[in-house]
Amino acid sequence: MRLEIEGLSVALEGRDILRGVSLQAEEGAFLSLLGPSGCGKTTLLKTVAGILAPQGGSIRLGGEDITGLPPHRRGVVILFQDIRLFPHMTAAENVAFPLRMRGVGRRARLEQAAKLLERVRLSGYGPRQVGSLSGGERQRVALARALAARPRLLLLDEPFSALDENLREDMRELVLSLHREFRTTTVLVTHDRGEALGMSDQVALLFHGEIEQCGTPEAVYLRPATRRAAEYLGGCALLDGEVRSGIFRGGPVALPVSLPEGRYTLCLREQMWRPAEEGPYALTVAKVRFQGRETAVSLAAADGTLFQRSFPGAVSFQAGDVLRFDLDMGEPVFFPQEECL
Amino acid sequence: MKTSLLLRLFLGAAAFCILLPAALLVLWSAAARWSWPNLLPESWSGRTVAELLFGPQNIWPLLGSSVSLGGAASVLSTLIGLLTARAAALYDFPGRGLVRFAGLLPLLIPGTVFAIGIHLVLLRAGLADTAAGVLLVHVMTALPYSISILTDVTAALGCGLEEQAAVLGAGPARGFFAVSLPELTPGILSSMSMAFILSYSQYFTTLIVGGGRVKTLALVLVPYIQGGDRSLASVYALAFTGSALVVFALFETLIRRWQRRGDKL
Amino acid sequence: MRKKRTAYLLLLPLMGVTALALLACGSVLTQSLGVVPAFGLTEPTLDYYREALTDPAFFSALGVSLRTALLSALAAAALGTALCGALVRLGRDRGPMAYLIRLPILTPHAVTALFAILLLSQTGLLARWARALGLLSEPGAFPQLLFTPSYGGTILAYLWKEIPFVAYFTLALMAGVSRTLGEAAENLGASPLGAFLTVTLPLSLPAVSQAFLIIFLFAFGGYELPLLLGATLPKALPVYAHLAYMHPDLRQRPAAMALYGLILLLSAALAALYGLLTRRLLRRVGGGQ
Repeated sequence: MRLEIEGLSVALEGRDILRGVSLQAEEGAFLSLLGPSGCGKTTLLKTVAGILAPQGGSIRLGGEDITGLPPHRRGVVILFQDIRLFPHMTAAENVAFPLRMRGVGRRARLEQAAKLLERVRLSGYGPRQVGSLSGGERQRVALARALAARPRLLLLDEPFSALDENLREDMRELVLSLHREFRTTTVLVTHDRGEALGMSDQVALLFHGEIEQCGTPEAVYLRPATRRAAEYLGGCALLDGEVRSGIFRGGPVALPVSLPEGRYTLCLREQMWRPAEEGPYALTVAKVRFQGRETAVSLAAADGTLFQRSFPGAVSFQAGDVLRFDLDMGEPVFFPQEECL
Repeated sequence: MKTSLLLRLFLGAAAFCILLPAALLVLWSAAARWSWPNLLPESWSGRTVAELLFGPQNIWPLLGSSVSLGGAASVLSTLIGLLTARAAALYDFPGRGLVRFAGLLPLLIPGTVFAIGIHLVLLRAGLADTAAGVLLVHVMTALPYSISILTDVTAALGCGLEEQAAVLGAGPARGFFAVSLPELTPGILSSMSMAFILSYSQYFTTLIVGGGRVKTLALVLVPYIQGGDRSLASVYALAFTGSALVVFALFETLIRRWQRRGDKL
Repeated sequence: MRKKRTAYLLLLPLMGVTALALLACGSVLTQSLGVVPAFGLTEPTLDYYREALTDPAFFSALGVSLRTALLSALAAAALGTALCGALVRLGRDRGPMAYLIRLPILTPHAVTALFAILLLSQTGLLARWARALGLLSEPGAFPQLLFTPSYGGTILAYLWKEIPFVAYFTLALMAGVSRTLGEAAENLGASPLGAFLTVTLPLSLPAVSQAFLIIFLFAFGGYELPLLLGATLPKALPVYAHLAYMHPDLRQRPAAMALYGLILLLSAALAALYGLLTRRLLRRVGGGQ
């Protein structure tokens, strides 16, 4: 179902956590909510689910205003960060719980639970006690349980943060495949940029209780709307400089631009540095750090500005070598400097 | 919501049931005459208060002995509780389960049997009918609660801070006093509060072990209640409850103040 | 963590206390077997136990104690859990109300008995309210709750203390469960009452169960309330035993000790029985964690 959040404001214990948040997700979309810890992501989820009451704003699901509905009638299911499986029930009984609440008979609901457990690759785990399951297994039972509730909206609160790296990848795969199958509108909260960018149809940046930017992963990454967004998403250097007579000069970089005169910050992505034998820019290698799949290299310009660039695999050059680059700007992104603070 | 209203009425009824008797005590204490079927006393008097404060069995020596017994019991019980908690929570040794059981033992023995039995033991030790004997028994009664509270806080704190202090050059005792003890303060205060109230409220143990020679406020309550003078009984009961509440409130304020100190840091 | 020797040193005071407690029980049991060196009695005998167990007065007393303990503990467990549930549901588990319920726990039994007398006697406050409401005109028409073989007043007095105790004992656990798992249950479609009955309450039962055992044993062995509020006949078991203890003929002392011994053994047996009964039922709840 289509999710529309309009001007949502939530305060907890006297502090404003969410300030007029507005967000939309299309029916069946996968939206990631990205932002640093403590900026209100979990609060937003809890408010949409009905656990917290907003001070202002509205939430519409499939066109229906659910702002006043109690949590058990909204059809919004959260997969909590601390999983919250019921310890006094088996895995199957946990998964069957939402069905039980809807009045489905015992045999029928346990059958459906078994099918859902298969779907999350836990066939036969039905009779297992919750305490005997590993972290990843409990996560999957919780996922199956959430799906059993046939949610109109599924909210995932940093579900992978407690898992090992390898498990995380498996879980992401699973969540995506379930999303493709059930087409449930899903909102994933995470502070992992790669995760958000890699999994979603839409990415929304939440900083200090406000939506900084919302768009496709490419749009948000390649064209950050503000300096803060660019800094958070990383992978770029921010060069402060000036535009005069149609040329931007900042650090070692000089570029022709069509911007009015003034002070600007250029957002320079690492991949814009293209190694070129006769390139106009000469950068000295400052540090080389091999990291397995790629090597992170720090390059210093003549004026001392440092740039980061990664190269696939291992590299042959070392600290002290001078390399020549060209700048492949594509669509350069500039932020007027008034906005900096 | 209808349920919410019902629940609130339920809580209100509970609060009423708890506070009404206390109000009654106050009324009866000050009543000169309150006969059937009147809902309020017909006349008031300060007789009972006068007797409480100045009469032959006035409250002052009773308060003195009760408070000093309670104070001593709370300190001793907490001290032993701390030592025990430290061993039980931080050390690994065979017989750990037994220690938990031993800590609970006085709780499992019925109060009357315990009093009679310990009186026999103390008779042989020459401590029967003495305040020391009564103190010992009060400590034994309060100990399970102290151990329980202090084991929880000691285990929660762990030895991490002391280990850190040790590598920074503090000897074991110094480390404990400088680093762990402050953190354990709320638990210590809680244990002292609990132990004090327990000792303060002891009737049967004081009666049997003290042989009537050790007189506490809790002890004299029973004959007053058995006697027919409701006003006199009420004023003594009020004095008891009031003083217990004052001590309890004192401890709670200390605990709250201490915790807020931690918050500021 | 460190040397075992330090641990044993730290435990010395506790060991001393435990030894004393065991000695106390031992002394009672020894005397109950008729071994009282001070009176020149050195032959252990079960005669005093036999006497007690064939005395109908003993069984009446036992009946009274069992009945008052069981009735009050059951009612307190149910109502205390409800009180706890109300506190948690309304979010009052940390406010002034949570403090208020500690008041009865701090009140000694003697004072509770006085409350009962002032409220429940036939000329007490409740009777006077009944008269003011026109429900009766004579004190005699008010049901006799105190000093009767039904021990009604005693049970009500126990309830006044025990209901808050159960609520207080269970509060931390129930609040924690409700905040996390209860919230999850509602999120999955359970109504607030449904979440309480299927998730919060079952997971709070271990605490309720412990509280039940504590108040049951306490009421079973309790002296002050049945003494001050109970009937002259039949007496509650601890009152009966104490009367025997105060008998002027000191050679009757072993008979009183036998009664105390029986109280001790019965309490232990009841606790063990309760442990067995609940272990199977509660294993699932505890084991799932």
